[in-house]
This record gives sequence, C-alpha cells and structure tokens, in this order.
Amino acid sequence: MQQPGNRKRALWGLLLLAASTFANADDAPQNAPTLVYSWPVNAGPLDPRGYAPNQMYAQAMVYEPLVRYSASGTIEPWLATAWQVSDDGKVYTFTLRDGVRFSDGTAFDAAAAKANLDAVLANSQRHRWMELVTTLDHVEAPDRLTLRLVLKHPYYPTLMELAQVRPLRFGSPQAKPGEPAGTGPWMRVDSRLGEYDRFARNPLYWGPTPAYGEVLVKVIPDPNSRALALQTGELQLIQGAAGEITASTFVRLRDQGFATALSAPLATRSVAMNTGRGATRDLAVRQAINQAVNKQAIIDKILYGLEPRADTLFAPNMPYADLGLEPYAYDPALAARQLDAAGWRLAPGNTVRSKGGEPLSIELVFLGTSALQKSLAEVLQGELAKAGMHIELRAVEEGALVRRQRDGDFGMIFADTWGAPYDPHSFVSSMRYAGHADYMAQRGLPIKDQLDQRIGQVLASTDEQQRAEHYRFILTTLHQQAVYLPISYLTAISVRRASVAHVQFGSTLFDVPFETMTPQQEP
Amino acid sequence: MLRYILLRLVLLVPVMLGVSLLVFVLLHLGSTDPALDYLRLSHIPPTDAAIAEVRHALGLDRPLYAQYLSWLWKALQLDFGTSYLTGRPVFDDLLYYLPATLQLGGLALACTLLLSIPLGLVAARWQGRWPDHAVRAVTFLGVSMPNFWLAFLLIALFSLWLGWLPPLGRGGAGHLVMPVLAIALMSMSINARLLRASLLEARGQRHVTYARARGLPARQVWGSHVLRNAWLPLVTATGMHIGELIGGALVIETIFAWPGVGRFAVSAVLNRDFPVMQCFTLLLTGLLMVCNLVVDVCYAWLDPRSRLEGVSA
Repeated sequence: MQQPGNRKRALWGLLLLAASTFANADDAPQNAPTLVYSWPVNAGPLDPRGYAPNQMYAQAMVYEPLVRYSASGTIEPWLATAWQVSDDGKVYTFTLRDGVRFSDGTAFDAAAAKANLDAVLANSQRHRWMELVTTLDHVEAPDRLTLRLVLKHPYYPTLMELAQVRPLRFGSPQAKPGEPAGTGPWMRVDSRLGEYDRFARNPLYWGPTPAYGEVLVKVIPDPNSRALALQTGELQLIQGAAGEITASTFVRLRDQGFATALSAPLATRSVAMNTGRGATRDLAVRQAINQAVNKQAIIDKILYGLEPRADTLFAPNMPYADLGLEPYAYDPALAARQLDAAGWRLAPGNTVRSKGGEPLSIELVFLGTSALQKSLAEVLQGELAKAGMHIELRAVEEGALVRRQRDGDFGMIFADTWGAPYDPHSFVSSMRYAGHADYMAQRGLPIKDQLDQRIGQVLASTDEQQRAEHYRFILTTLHQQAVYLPISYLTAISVRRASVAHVQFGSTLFDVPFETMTPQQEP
Repeated sequence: MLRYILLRLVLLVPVMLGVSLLVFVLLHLGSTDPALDYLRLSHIPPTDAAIAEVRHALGLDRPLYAQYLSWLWKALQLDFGTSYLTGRPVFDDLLYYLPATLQLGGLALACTLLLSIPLGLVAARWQGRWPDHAVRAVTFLGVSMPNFWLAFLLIALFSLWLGWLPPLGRGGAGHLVMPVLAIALMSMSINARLLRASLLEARGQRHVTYARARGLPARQVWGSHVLRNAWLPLVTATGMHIGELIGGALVIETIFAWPGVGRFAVSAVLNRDFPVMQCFTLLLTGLLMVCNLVVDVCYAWLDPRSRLEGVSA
C-alpha cells in the first residue's frame, strides 16, 4: 500500500512536469524585418531536383532558372542573359550571367549548370514526366559562360520547361548534404520539423537586395487556424493557389478590412465530356450542356465570386490562347431547341429527354472527398435537370478517379488544366496519350487522329507563326466540339496585414515573390 | 500480482501482431493508392508510367505477403520503414513528435483529474443546491461541445478579442492553455459527472449511514467511507479517457499547429502514408493496452476484492 509520503512525491513530480513544460519558451532569433508566412508542411530537404516532400514555393525561393516565365506568358532572361536557337530547333545556346555565385560562395558557371543538368539526365527515369528531359540528348559547356543544350528533336516548349520550379534549376555542386545552396534571393538558415522554416537574404545574391531580412514560414496545416493567425498578427501574409484558406474565409477577411488580391487566371476549372461513350457522343448534347449551365450563378453562389468565368479551355492570358473564340452563352431555351433538333425529345409527363428509347442520362464522376467538387456536381445536376438531362452523380476515391480517367469510364469528369507554366503545351501534349482523361474524352471525335498529329507538330514547330496556327486549330476544334465545360479560371489569393506592402503574385501556381515585398508601418 | 502483470505484458505481443496484420491488410486492400498521393503532392501528372515508377520506388509493386513479411521483419528491429511523403524514418519522426503530444496529453490528463475531482465532490456534497447546479451546467456544456469547436471559440476569445494567449504553435506556458483546455474539457466533464453520481450512490450505502450513526465527523465519513468507494468508476473512466485524449490530440494539434504525433498522423491519413499510419496504430495500441493494464492494477490496489479475483484468475 502506498504511503502518504509517496503520494506527496508523486504530486511534486506532476507539478515539476508541468513546470518543465512551461520552460520551453520560443527562443528563435528575431531579426527585423521578418516577413511571417505559413505553409501546411515543412519546406523539405530543398533538393533542387527533388519532389515531395520538397515544397515548390521554397525551391523557387532558393533556386533559379536559366529563363523566367512572366505573368503575361512570355519568357524573360534570368540566369541566362541571352540565348540562341539553331535553325533546326535542336540546339539551344545560352549566355550565362556573369558574376553569379551560389550562397555557399561557389561560382555559377557553365560547368556548374552542366553538372546540374547532367544529374537530371542521369536520373531521367524519375523526371521523364517532363518532356524536355526525354528530349534532351546532352549538355555542353564550351566555355565558362556558354551552355549548350542539344535536343534529340526540335521541341519548342524547351524554354517554358526550363523556367519550371523543378527539376531544371541550379544548386551548388559543392553544397554539403543538408545545406542547400542556390543562386536565389533567399537561403534557408533554420528549420524545426513541424514548426517552421526560416529563410534569410542570400548575401551573395546578384539581383536587388530584398527589403525583408528574413522570411519565417510557420507550419500551419489548418486553413481556419491560418486565418485566425493572420487576424491575431501571428502571420502577416496568406498567399497561394493551393487552398490556403477557403473562399468564404477570404471574403470574410476582405470584409473585415484586410488587404486582399486575386491573381490573373492561372489554370482552368473544367469538366471533360466523353465523346466516345453514352449521350455525350452527340455534339448537340455537349453543346447544350455548355449552354444550359449558368456558370455565373455557380461562381457567385459556390465560389463566392472569386474566380472569373471561363468560356474557353485556356484563359486568354495563356500563351497562344487569346483566339477570340465565341463563348457558349447561357441560354437554356437554345439548349432545349438544340436537343429537340437532335432528336432528344421530352415525352409528355417525363422529366428526362430520350432519343430512340435511350434516356439522356450522363454519369458525372467527382472526387468524393472534395466538398467543392461535390457542390459543383450537385449544382450541375440541378442546372442540367432543367434542360431535361439526367445527371447521375458518382463520388469516388482518388485512386478510383484516376482509374476511371485512364479507362475512359465516365460520362463527365472534373479535369482541371495543369496551370501555368504547364498550360497550354504540357497539357495539350498529354492529350495524345491514353491514360489521360483528356485523351479518353476526345477519342470519340472523328478528327482525333488529326488533332493528335497537330499536337505533335506544334511541339516540334520552330516557326512562331506556324505554331500559333497549329494552336488555333487545336483549341478551336476542342471548343467547337464542346469537349469541355469550362467553369471558371483558378486564381491565387492573397490576404495581408497592413504591415506588408508591394505584394505581388508569382507567374505560376507555385511561386510567391517575397523578394518584391516591403515592410511598412501598420496603422 | 506480478505474474498477472507479466502475463498481460506477454499478451501484448499477439495483440500487436494481430493489429499490425489487420491494419496492413485493410490499408492495402482499399481502393487507395499512395503512389497517386505522392504524384499529387509532387505536382507530377499521374501517367501510367509515372504511377508504375513511384509504385516501384515505394515497393508497392511487390506481392502483399512479401511486403508484410519484410515490414514485420524490420519492425521487429524497430525499423518501421520510411515515410512515403517525407522520406524520413517513421519511427524517428514519431519519437521526435511524441514529447510534444505527451506534454499536451499529460497536462490534459492532469487537468482532467485535478478539476474533475473537486467539481464532482462539490456537486455531490451540495446536491440540489447552487454549486451542484453550476457544476452540472458546466459539465453539460463540456460533454456536449465538440472539442474542435471549443478550440476555435477559445482562440476567438483569448487570442482574437482579448489578445492574452498566442493562437497557435508550441512555445511557452501561454501556448499550452488553450489546447490543454480544449482536449481536457470533455474528459473532465464526464469524470465530474461520473464522480458525482458515484458519490451519491456510495453516500446511500448502509455502511455510510452507520458511520454517521457512529458520530464520525462529516469529513471522515466522506473521505474514508464515501470517496474511497466512489473511486472505482473514475479509475475505469480515466483509463478510457487516455484514448479520448489522444483522439482529441489528433484534431486539436492540427488546429493549434502543435507539432505532435496527432498532427503527424492526421497528415499521414490524409495522404495515405501507410508506413506512418501503421506505426502510429501500433504505437497507439501499445499505449492503450499499457494504460488498461495500469487501470487494472490501480483497481486491484484500490479494491481488495478485485485483487483477489485477479490473483485467482
């Protein structure tokens, strides 16, 4: 039996445990000015060629590309100041920026750049999802500031793919394990698993010095907690395109007076329709679906008016996509007439049209774990029911969703585009391969072979005008054939406290340009 | 008694084996594919070739029995594999995050006990009067309110409006107050209500009436005769609360950005990080079994009748 003395000791032990927990105070250094941002997970090991758990926002802070993708869809010089493309489109010769050094002091020159690209080629199996990696034959470094990329065959999106966050950016060949060093404006100086990553200005950076001395990225997985952290001043900025906060929270913060902004369109939220199966084989049905859905109501009611309405597969700010295609206007009466004319008639007393005994019923497949897709699917069901179309909703798990995309086992399926800088070339390129929802959606088109040929030609085209013409054909065909129901253009969001100024958006879904932001006095 | 404890500890082995097999089979027979999650998080288009490549890299293309046996062999050497997502050793990560969760869970348990006992005593001692009504009102709220909702209410009150406490993260004492309260309130309320009911029941027993009739002071009647007999349900409930506290930590750690095992596990579940889920389940099973054992031992210590039954069993 325990004695009273033992009980006392146990109580003291408990009190000491409690006291020890209070002693673990935050002792992180506070070098002003620090910008405080958040991300759901740690930045990862920051390998320039690594995928998950390496976070792209952080890789974009530390590593830089040869050329940069601008928000208007053009390519700008970056670590390369100039480049030339051979007449046959197979050799790209870059002049590298002189005087650039990695944050560990190593010089960035042609040898360092070649070492990085050779490392990608040595592990090409891992990176073959990127077409440039499979197209790249070898890399040459004829002198200190000249880098030559020799391709197996012409591939016009070479520069676009070089601009991507990974795997074709440059880390120091001398970097020690666990100490990543790039040429970018930031370098990671501290990291605590599950708590934060701290980035400091790279003192050797070749470009303008960022106004902030540090960027502290706190690990906050929950969107609601993130919003509360901004409100209480624990965070200064919420920015990104990966669901950092919900649309309703964005609107609430905006109404409370926080400075908010939406980026230009970065990708398209759309539904692909199966041209090879069921009622959606019929062009009239696909066009009627485009006319019968009130997209603006969806945007206002479900997306809180935060995403611009999409009328074409790619937003006009994407390269080669500003074609002036005529949108399918919201016109339920026209949709009904079109269906009637195509033989899909509504028998008296029925709510669903039919043709030759086949009811106008379409299976819409969506990700069951996505509350947003569920809401969108339900509204589409309601809208199309008014036009006499029965939409059967099918919620599936992600694995099942990919299998259905691969097997073409859907009537309609949510299929967002990949976003800048993958749009339009990578996305269009994937349309040629079985296993993609887009290929399976398009396979019923009578001109699918021709479409695939034109996609092959556009990627190999070295002539700008010819390329634009190929894109015009591809995108116009897809639009006229109504293979997609574009709903809205995805944008990045930004909410900031008044202590941060000059907030800009990156040109892709993945980067946040902290180096342009400046501190200011909060009123 | 020692033999009984040893027997229970030996029984841990088959239970853990069974749980590991069950979890492994359930995870791998589902329609989910961790390779897809890896590709999604890596922003790589999920082509057939990419999926096959990742499945091979993660060892998911081997026969199921080979995967399990290889996992088991390594697990016996405390190597629970590497996380699909972070590429880090799972066991090391769990050990890294464990102290933060133990800190939160330990304090929540201490709060549960330190608050529920006086509350239950006060309510039973002054049954039907205002202290009883107040305790019942508070505990009714505590039992009914989901912990995540309470967590957001606490943040809104103490961080947003009053500005007294930091809304998230791990650091000084201020960081602990809200998560501990959010986790502990439900257990504390259940315990207080349970203790009240059990005290009232014990108070009506004949030996208590005789104690009073013998003229013992009220303090002694309550301490030695009522309370002593009312402990037992509380011990059982506390054992069960340890599971609830860990369950609470899953949600609360995510809301308060608390770097603990719970948040790590939630992220693993959301991203189908099988090795983490498997190791976490085993850790939890072991922890709960040990807690149950401790409860049983406490029972035996508090109640000679069950001690004798335990020995004879």
